[in-house]
Amino acid sequence: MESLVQALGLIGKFEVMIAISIGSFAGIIFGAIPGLTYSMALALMLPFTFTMEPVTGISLLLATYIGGMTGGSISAILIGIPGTPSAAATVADGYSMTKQGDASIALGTAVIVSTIGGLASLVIMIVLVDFISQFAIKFGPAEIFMLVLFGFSTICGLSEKSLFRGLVAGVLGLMLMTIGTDEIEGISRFTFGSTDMLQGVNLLVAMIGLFAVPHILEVFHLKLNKEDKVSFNVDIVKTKLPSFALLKKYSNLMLRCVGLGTSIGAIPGSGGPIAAFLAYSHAKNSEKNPEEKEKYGKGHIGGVVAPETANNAVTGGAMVPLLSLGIPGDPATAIILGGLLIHGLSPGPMLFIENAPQVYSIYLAILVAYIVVFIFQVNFIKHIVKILKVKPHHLGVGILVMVIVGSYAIRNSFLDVNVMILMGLIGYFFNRIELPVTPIVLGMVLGRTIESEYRTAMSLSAGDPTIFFSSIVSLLFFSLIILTIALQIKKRIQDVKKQKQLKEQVQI
Amino acid sequence: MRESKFYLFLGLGVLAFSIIWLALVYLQIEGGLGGYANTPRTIPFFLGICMSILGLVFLYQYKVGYVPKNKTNPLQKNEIRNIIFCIIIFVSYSYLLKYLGFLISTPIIVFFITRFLLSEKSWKLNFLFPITITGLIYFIFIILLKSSLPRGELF
Repeated sequence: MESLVQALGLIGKFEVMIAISIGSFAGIIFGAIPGLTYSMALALMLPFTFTMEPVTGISLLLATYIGGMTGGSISAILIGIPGTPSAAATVADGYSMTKQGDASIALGTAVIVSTIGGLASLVIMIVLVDFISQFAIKFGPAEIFMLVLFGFSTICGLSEKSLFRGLVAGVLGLMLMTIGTDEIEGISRFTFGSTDMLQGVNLLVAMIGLFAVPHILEVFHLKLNKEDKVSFNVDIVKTKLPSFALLKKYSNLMLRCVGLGTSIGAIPGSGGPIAAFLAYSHAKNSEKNPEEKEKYGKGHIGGVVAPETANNAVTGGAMVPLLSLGIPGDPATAIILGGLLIHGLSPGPMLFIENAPQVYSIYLAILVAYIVVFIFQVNFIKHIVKILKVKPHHLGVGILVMVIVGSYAIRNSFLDVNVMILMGLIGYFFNRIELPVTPIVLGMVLGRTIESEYRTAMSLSAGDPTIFFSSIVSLLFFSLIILTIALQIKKRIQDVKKQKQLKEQVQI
Repeated sequence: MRESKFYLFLGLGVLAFSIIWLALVYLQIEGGLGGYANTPRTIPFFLGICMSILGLVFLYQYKVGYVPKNKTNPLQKNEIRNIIFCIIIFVSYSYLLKYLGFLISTPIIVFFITRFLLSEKSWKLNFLFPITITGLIYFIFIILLKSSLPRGELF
């Protein structure tokens, strides 16, 4: 109770409220504009949180995340292009409603179910985080190593369609984190004699490079080639909240979608798009009235309710492994983890013992952020949609300024700017050959934990590797790793067989 | 790059990278693998081996005739030129920040980009846009959020 009172004092500060408002607004904007992502917004915001109070900085990041997740539905509904992958499932019915002249009610429904979904998942999150933390506090280095390795394997396997491509990116991320001084013995690694390199690759700089630079390169390249991306013409819209009767009608569906979204969000590597599509499919299949079922995909309000509730419920779910175990499920939570670490808050079971007021502040910040996002979307939607008319290369100039200032300001170092450019080029090249960049970030985030826990466990066992298989928890995580990889390989073999059959059919 | 050769090039690229990495493990890190497989070299060495295996997997995929679902286009000459332009801007801006600080270097670089790189003719975009963007970032991060922005050595 004392911690909660302290948290209320921390969150009630003017700066924190401003941070939440700016974060929510930036998140909505980055979420609403196709091509920009809220992960990019988070990466750009992160360096500026350095000099802020911990709660202010974390609140800014959390509000950006929540605003971004909610904002994706705006462009999905108004122009039929999802602002975020999580909003892709909303396009079919949301955009159909716009074409039928029901954009306002579609937007209003999306806003309110997003808020309900997010807040309901927050409650589940609070209960689960506490429960898992109490369980995880008993984990030793071997269990943590296996757990992080499991998280890493699911992220590489599930975040993108190809396990092997995901693994290449993930292993590259782990490699990058070994550059610099070895934390255990203090030996320099891959520094080529440079003292600047002793600090290693800065995670924030890498994130900025990977998420923001490829976008800048792409929009400038298109502009210079006179193939400018189109900006969107959007009519004046208002947000019209749905009636209580309509919400009551869909309350059962929303409840199921909250459960679905939160549980999928809690699995590292799955995230919003999977939850939204599963919820959409569930809503359609569970519709008993054949006439109503027929309307799905043609402007049915249930097709907005289900995915929007589920993708916002993912935010609460994704925070469960992050706060209780220190495992980020997606790039956004990886960046938030970076923010927590910058401010001396190490997620995991000890977080609740050492920093209880800050944990409660996080919960309160999420609550306030959902309320602020709701207010923004209901009252200022006609101003927010104007941003869709801005030309992408003009936004690119703004992002470029933030990228350079952000990466330079971290340590006032040109090395960081150079690393950021290099990571940006890697990100651009990876995008071109369709290698995922998300596992690079997650590899970098989890790299230090994997190495330190492995080496601590090996030191404890005097070099006996059986320590990793000596407890039920370790064995369970190991089995899950094998299962994840086996399922991916099986899927790959099936794909190859299908391709071969198709080839043979074409030849015949 | 012909699509059928995608996995060949990817596999060779990954394999070459892993070989360079493994060489660097021995050249750039002191000590051996150790009796307990628990030295600063252990994890980098293991990662190099993993990367080699992944390279071989891609080569195997090429051998069995696996083709990527989506077509990837090779980098064009003008694309490389535009990327180099952007890198020059990144580096120039960071040097300007070092000497002139945020408030002076940002309008200069934004003006340069809009006027000469993006060839915008409108005076609003050439003059108002750089000032607005600088002012907006300053207002948000310094006045509202009490954060900091780079100061130059000269100003």
